[in-house]
Amino acid sequence: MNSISLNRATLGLPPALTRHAGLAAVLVLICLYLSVRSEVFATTPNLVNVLRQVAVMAVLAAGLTVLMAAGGLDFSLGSQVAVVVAVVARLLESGTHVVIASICGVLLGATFGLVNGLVVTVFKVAPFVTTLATATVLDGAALIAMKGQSVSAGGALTDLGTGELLGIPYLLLIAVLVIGGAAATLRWTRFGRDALAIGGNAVAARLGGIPVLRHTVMLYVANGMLAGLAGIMLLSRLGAASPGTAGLHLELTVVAAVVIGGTALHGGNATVAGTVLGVLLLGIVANGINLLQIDSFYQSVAVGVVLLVAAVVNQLRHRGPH
Amino acid sequence: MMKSRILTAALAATAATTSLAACGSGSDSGDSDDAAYAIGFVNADSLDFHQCLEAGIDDQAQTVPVEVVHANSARDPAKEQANVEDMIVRQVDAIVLQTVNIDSLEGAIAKAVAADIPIFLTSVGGPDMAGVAGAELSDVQHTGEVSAEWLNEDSAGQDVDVAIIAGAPGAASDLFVGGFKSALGPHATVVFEQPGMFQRAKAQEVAENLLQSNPDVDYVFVPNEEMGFGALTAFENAGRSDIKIITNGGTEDGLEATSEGRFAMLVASSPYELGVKAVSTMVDLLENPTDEPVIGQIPTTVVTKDNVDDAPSYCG
Amino acid sequence: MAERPPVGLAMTATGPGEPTARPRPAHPDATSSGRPATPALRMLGIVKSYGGATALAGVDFVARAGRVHALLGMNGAGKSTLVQILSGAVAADAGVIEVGGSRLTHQGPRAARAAGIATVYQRRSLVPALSVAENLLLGRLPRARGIVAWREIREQGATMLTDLGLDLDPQMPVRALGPGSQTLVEIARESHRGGRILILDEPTASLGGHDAALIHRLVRQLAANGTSVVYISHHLDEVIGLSDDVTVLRDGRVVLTAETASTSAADIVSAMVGTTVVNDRPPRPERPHVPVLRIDGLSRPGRIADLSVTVGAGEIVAVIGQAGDGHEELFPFLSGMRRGYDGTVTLRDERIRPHQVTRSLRSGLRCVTGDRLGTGLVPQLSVDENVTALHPTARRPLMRWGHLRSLAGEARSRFGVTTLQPNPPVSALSGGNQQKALLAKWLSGSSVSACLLEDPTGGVDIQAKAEIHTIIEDLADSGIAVLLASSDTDEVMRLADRVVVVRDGRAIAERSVDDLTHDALTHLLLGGSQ
Repeated sequence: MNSISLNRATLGLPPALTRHAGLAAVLVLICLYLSVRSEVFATTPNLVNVLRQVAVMAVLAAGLTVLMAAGGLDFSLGSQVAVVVAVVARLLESGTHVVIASICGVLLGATFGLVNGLVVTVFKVAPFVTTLATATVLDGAALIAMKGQSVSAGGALTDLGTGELLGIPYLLLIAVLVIGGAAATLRWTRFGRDALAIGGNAVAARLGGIPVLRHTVMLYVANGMLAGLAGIMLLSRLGAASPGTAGLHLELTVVAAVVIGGTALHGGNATVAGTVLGVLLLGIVANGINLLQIDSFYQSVAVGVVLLVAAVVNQLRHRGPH
Repeated sequence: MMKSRILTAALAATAATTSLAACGSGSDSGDSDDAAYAIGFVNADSLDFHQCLEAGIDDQAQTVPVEVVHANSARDPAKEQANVEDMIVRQVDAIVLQTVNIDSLEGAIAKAVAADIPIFLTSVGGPDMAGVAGAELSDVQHTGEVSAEWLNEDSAGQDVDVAIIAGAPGAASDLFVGGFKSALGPHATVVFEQPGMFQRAKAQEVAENLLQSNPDVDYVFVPNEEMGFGALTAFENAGRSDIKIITNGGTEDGLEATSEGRFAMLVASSPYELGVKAVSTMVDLLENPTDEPVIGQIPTTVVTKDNVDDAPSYCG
Repeated sequence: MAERPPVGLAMTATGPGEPTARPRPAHPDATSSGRPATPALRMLGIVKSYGGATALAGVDFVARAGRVHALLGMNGAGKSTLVQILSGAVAADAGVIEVGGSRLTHQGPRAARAAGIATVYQRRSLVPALSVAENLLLGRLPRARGIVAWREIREQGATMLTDLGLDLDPQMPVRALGPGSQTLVEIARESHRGGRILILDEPTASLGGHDAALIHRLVRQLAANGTSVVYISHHLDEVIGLSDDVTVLRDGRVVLTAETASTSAADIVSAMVGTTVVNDRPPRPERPHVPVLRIDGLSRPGRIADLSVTVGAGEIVAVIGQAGDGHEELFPFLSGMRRGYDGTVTLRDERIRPHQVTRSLRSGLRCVTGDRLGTGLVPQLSVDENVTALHPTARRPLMRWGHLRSLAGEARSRFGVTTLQPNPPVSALSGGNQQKALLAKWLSGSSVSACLLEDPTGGVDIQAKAEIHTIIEDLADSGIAVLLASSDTDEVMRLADRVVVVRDGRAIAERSVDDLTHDALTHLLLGGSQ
C-alpha cells in the first residue's frame, strides 16, 4: 500500500478518491469477473435490478454511517424495519390511507430510535447491548403485529415499489437522496461535524460545549425514522409483510456494509462514499451468486470470502508509511 | 375476501391483547368430566400452520370427547423437551407432538417411551420411528414428485425451461427438490436453482435475479407458499404473468391466488385435517394398541384454477 | 539475615510519607556478618539518548543486598529511564549492568527477571477480580493433574502473607482491597517471584499515612530478608526515614550518592535543584488587583481539602503539587468533567456551575486540559476544525469551510501552530504543535476572561515550551486571569505571579513569587524539614 500513498503524494489526488482505492478495486474486479462469466450481469436491466434491491440497505447504511461517526451503533434497525413493515401492512389492509400509514411507519421508527437513544444516554448502557436487546424485542413484536401470518399491503404502495422516473426506479431515487443527505450532513452541517467530534472524543466534545446527550438521542431518532422509511420502501417492493422479513439478518448486512466501507466501529471516522461501495459490493455479490448459480452450500462461503478480502484490502490502507 | 381480511385484522388486534393470557402454559380444553382420555399436544410454534393444526385437534377432541392439554415450544428444541417432560408428569394418556426440528425428536420420543406413554407425531418424523405409536407425516418428496408430474402433463411434451427456488439448504428442501427433479420428464430442463431460504423477501430477490439471468423461463418450482408469493410479486412487478409458478401449501391466500391463475398449480394439504386425523388415530390406538407404529401420509390435493373447490379447508 | 534489628522505635510522624525510623546499620561492607563485598547490583556508565536528547549521560549506580537505596530526581532527571533500563523495558545505548557480580549479557524484560530484577510500577498489574492468593501466584498457579489446586493456592498464599507479616485475607478479591493493600500484594508477589533486586516506583504516592507505614514496614522486612530495594520517591521525609543509601539524579547524571545517614535534607534538595538555576523570568508589569476568578473551598474526599484561590485580571497564579496530588483536581472540577466536588466558583461576581459546560463557556471561562488527546482535542479531526471548535461564527448550522479556514489561519499564527501539510488531522502533529493547537482551540476566541491551564507544557520540547510560555504571558498581558495547575517548579517560577503549594491534598503555603526561591519552593513541595 506504500505505492498508493506515494501516488497520492506525487499525483496530488484528493484523499477522497484514493481513500477507497482498495475497496473500489475489489468491486471493479468482481464486476469484471461477473461480466465475463455472465452475459446478463453488465446489462442495464440487471444493474437497475441490483440497485433497486440494495436501495433499502443503502438507506439504513447511510443513516448508520452518521450514527457510527458519533460512536453510536444500532443493531436494531433491521428489526425496526420488520415492525414497520408489519404495522404499515396491517394499517393498509384495514383501509388506512397510504399517506397516513406511511407517516405512522416513520413515527414508529422515530419512537424506537428514541427508546434506544434514551437507554444509551440516560442509563449509559453500551449501544451494542441496548440495540441487540431491542432488536430481539422488535423481532418478536413484528411477529406479534402480523400474528405469524403474511399480511398483504394490497396495491397501495405498488407504484412506489415498481415505478420509475426517466428509467430510474423511485426506490433508487429515494436511496440516492438519503445517501446524498447523509454525506452532506457529515460534510456540510454543524450537526454532522459535531457527530464526528463526539465520536472522536466525547469528553472533549462535551467540554467544548456540544450537547452530547441530546445530539446522540437525535441521531438514534433520525436512524429510527430512516428505518421507518426503509420499512415502507421494503413493503412497497414485497407487497406484503411476512414472518422473517428484514430483522437481525438484514441488520448484519447493513453493519457489514458500513464497516467494510471504512467507517470506524469506535467512531470519529466515517465515510458515506465507503458505505455506498460496501452496499454495492454486498448487493452485487448476492446478484452474482444467483446469476452464476453458485451451489447453495458454497454461497455463504463465497460471501464471507469476499467480505474478508474487502476488509483486509481496506485495512491495508491504514498501514501507510509510519 | 377483503371482508375476511378486515375481520382478521380486527381479530388480531384483540387477540394480541388476550393471547398473552391464553398462551400461558397448558390451557385445557374439552369437557374433562366426560373425557375418555387426556391427550397432551405439544405444538412447535404459533404460525398459521400451527394454529390451524391446533384448531383441528381441539375440534376433533370435542367430538370424542378427549381432554387436550396444550403446550407450545416456540421454536425452541430445549423447551420442547421440557414440554414433553411436563406432559409425562401430568400423566396424560398420549402425547401428540409437532416437533420443532428432527434433531430434538429423538430425545422426546425416548422420554415418552421410557414413561410408557404412546406418542404420535404430526408432519415431521425422524429416521427411527420404532418407539412411536403412530404418525401422520407430510411426504415432501412425494409433493416434489407430484409437482413435477403435473408439469410434465401441463407442458405436453414441449421443451420447457424450469427454475427452482429452493428453501434453506437442508433435509426438507433437498427432499422437495430431489423428488421434483427425479420425476421431471425429459423435455423439461432445470436452468436455474438457487436457495430462497424459506423466506418471502429472499425468494423475491432470487426471482428478480432469475428474471435477469433466465428471462425465458417457463416454470418455477417453489417448495412453499410464502416463497411462492415472493416469486409471484417479483414476476408481477416485472409485468410477467406468463411464468407458471408451482408451489405447495393450501392457505386461503394461496387458494385465492390459484383460483385467479396467479399460481399455476398448488399442492394443497390441510393442517386442520391433520389435527383431526391425529386425534382420531390416537384414540383408536389407545383403544386398540398395535405393536407396530401406524404411520400415514398427509393427503394432498393437486389444485389448479379449475378445481380450487376440491382443496381441503386449511383451517376447518 | 538476622543481624538487622526489627522495625520499631517510632519517632516523629508529620505526614503520610513519614516512616518509622530505626537504628541504621553501618555500611554492609563493614558489617560483622561477613556479607560478600560484591554488590547485588552494579550499573556502570549507563548512557541513553532519545533522538538527540540525552536522558542518561553515563550513570553509575550500586545497590547492595539487605539495603534500601532511595533514587531521587526532579521530573526529567532520568529516574524513569534508569528504571526502564534496569527492568529491561528499554535498552541502554552504552554501559554495563552486573547482577551479583556477573554481567548481564542479554537485555529485555525476561533477562532482567531471570536475573532477579523485579519492578513494581505505580500502575498496578493485579487482576482485580481474582483473589489475593491467586494474584500472588499468578502465572504459576499450582496444579494437580492439570487442574488448578485451590487448596494449594490458599495455603501457599497464606504462607507467603504470614512470612512477610502481612495481615491480609488470601481469599479476598483484590478489587475489595484498598490501594495500599493492593500495593502490598503486588510487592509481595514480585518478591516471591524471585525478585532479589526490587524496584519500587513511588509505592506510597497518593496513599494515606497508615497505608504508607504498612508499605514501609514491608520494605524493611524485605530488606531484612536480604533483598536489595531500589526505592523511588518524592517525599524527602520518607527517603530520610526509610533508606540506607541515597542517589540523586539531575539532567541524566548522578549528582549525589551517599549513605543517607551521612547526608541531610538540605543536601538532597540542593542536589536535586542544582546550583545553576537562573531565574529567566522576564519582568512583568504591575497591575492593580482586580479579582476575576475565585474558587472557594474546593474539596473532594481523599484528594483535595478546602482549596481556595483567587486570580486577578492579567495575573498568573500557579497551584503546584507533586504529580498525583490534589492540584490535579482543578481541571476535572472547573471544566465540569467530573461531579462530586464541594466548592464554589465565581467569575466576575457571577456564580459558575462548572458542570453546566455551555454556560460557563459563555461566561468566558476556559479550562485547558493537561491530557490534550484524551480530553482536549478530537484527534481524527483536522487542525482547522479543532482550533475553531469554540468560535461562535464557526458554529452555525451549515459549515462555511472558507470562513473556518480564515478563522483557523488567525488562530494558528497567533498560537504558532505550524504544520507540514496544509491541514492534517491534529493527531498527526508533534507534541508541541498539538499543545499549541490545544491552547488555540480553547483560548483563541475573543470572549475569554479567565482560564485554567493544566500542565501546559507537558511532553513538549524545550523550544515549544519557551514559545508556550510566551503565549501564556501574552494571554495574561491581554487581561485574562490565568490559573496554572502544574507540577513543574521551573515553569511555575518562570510564569507565576503567585504560587499556592498543595501537599497531600492541602494548600500548605501561598506566596508571591518574589518571596520565593527555587529551592524554597522545592522544599515546600517535597516536604523536607527546613
